[in-house]
Amino acid sequence: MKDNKKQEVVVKFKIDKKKLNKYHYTNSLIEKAVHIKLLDTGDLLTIQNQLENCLIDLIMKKTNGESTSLPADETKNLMNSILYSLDMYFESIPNPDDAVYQLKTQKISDLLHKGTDIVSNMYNEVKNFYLYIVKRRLKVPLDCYHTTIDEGIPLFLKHYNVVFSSHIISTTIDYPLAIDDWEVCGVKYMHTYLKHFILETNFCKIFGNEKIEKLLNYFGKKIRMDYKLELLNIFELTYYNAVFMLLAGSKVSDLILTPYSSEIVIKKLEKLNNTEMETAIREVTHLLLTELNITDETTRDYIFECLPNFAARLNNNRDNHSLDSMLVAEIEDKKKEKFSIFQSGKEMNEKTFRKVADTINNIYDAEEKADYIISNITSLYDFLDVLNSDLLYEGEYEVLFSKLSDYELAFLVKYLYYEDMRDKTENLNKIINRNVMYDYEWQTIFHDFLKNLKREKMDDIEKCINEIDYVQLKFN
Amino acid sequence: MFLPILGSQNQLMKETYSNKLLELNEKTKAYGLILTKEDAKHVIEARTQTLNSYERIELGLNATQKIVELFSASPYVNSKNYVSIITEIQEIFYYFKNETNEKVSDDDLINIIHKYFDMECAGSIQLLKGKMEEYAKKTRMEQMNQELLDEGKDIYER
Repeated sequence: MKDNKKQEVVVKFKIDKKKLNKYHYTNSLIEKAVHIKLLDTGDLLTIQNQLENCLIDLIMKKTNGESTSLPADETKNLMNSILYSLDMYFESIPNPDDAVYQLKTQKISDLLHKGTDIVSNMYNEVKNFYLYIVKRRLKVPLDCYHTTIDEGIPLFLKHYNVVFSSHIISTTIDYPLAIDDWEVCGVKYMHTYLKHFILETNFCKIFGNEKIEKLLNYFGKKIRMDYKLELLNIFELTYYNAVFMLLAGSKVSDLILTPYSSEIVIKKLEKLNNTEMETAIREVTHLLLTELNITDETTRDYIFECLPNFAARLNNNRDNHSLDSMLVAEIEDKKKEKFSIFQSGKEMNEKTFRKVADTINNIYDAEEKADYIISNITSLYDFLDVLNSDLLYEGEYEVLFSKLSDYELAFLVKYLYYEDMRDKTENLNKIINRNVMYDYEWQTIFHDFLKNLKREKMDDIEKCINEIDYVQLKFN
Repeated sequence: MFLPILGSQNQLMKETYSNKLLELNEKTKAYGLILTKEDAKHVIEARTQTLNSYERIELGLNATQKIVELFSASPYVNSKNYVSIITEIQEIFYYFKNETNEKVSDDDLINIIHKYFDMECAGSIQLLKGKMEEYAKKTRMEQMNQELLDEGKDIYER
């Protein structure tokens, strides 16, 4: 009898799985089933009562049978956890009509068990993904990439609760993926995230750690920032540049364009309209996959999924005449060996610094004080420590600043206006004409000192600023 | 969004709960205490309102049933104050369920309220509230100390 009924359901009604809400699958399935009369009011009441019983069971489990009531938000949380596990089960059934049939004919608690099993298996897979990526990670100095592996994912594994809060991931994931669906929650999110994370990492690994690090270094120089601290996606950068290499007719494994090949690519892309752009990128991507011998369907699909976004960015940059910003090419190291008191970068130990500070404190002549600082301080870190330690009085700061070279002043400028200077549109003149509240006295005095400099002097400092690498500003 | 209709919100369920309370008359009549249909409805209605105002959800009527059974035997409860005492105790129970951060079981909490009501407070709801505030404060402090201890143990073990 039951089988006949099942057939009737399947044949007469058809629910399109694609039209169901993938973020609230069970709700969406029931709503649709009610709408097309696969479920009636009686069924709905039975389902509701059964769900209530599942919730009671869970509350009892949660409170060890010692309480029949909970705060509303906690109860809703438990209900969402139940629905999440049911979502996982019903989604695993290929035909939604079969899922409705099971809702009508089977105990919800049994279906919930099956859902919990799926959640639990997925959690175990996430563990395995994690163990894999710990060993296979890229060895590049990008902070967010490593904190995600070393902190974000372990925190998830430690706190995830399959039964009471299956829909929640209590952690922060910093590393941005090329494709990331933030609407998805619970273990499913982490599962997809790690699957993509591994896939992206493996793609980059084809080029080797050294090449990837070089690519990141050139990228950082190009956009004038310390890329190590930025939230950037390595895969996109690698994939894009690999495509550009092929467009330039260069060897894809080299990964980094020469300034000349970069120009060739820009000229080629400039001529393409939106449709041609996507077609061209698609063709080159096919070629890239062949060159790199990528046969794995999942990786291929993922890359092609990233393609429309890639093409859209190119189109946008073409319209803004900024295609150059997407290409990573070698940059000649123009940094001249200029002398600065910060050159050695060697920081003093606590004891030595205290001794130097005491001496500075005991010098009463501004000129003499400035000379002593300049000849005894050898790192930017110590220099800033002196400035921050109230060892100088108002007029003495100006004397000290006036004794620094343009290059040394540029160091201070770059340190103080790090964030503002990342944007190429901001020049020194613009920055110092703003009213800014500073934390330290020396910063205000330095600001006024710069304001009073002649235009030519400012230009010279500005030139020096461009020669200073962010790495030189990094403190050990 | 499709969610189960939780007990206290449902009209049918309210009636079921009222009947469950009326069944307790068999036991409480020994103390000369009987709930009328109206009384039972009133107690259930008050329970729903209290749960809503303290943002709690309860499945089942266990707590109220236990309160009725226990307090009907109190020397300070008589037929004149019976309904109001039950609803007041019900409110105190849910309030302190929140105030003790879910760390005290239903049975323990009801027993403590009962003990204070019958002994130290001699049936005064006002005194009972003050006593219970002290109790909740003490419970929270103990919890906090335990958490600090656990945290310390955690760091030490690491």
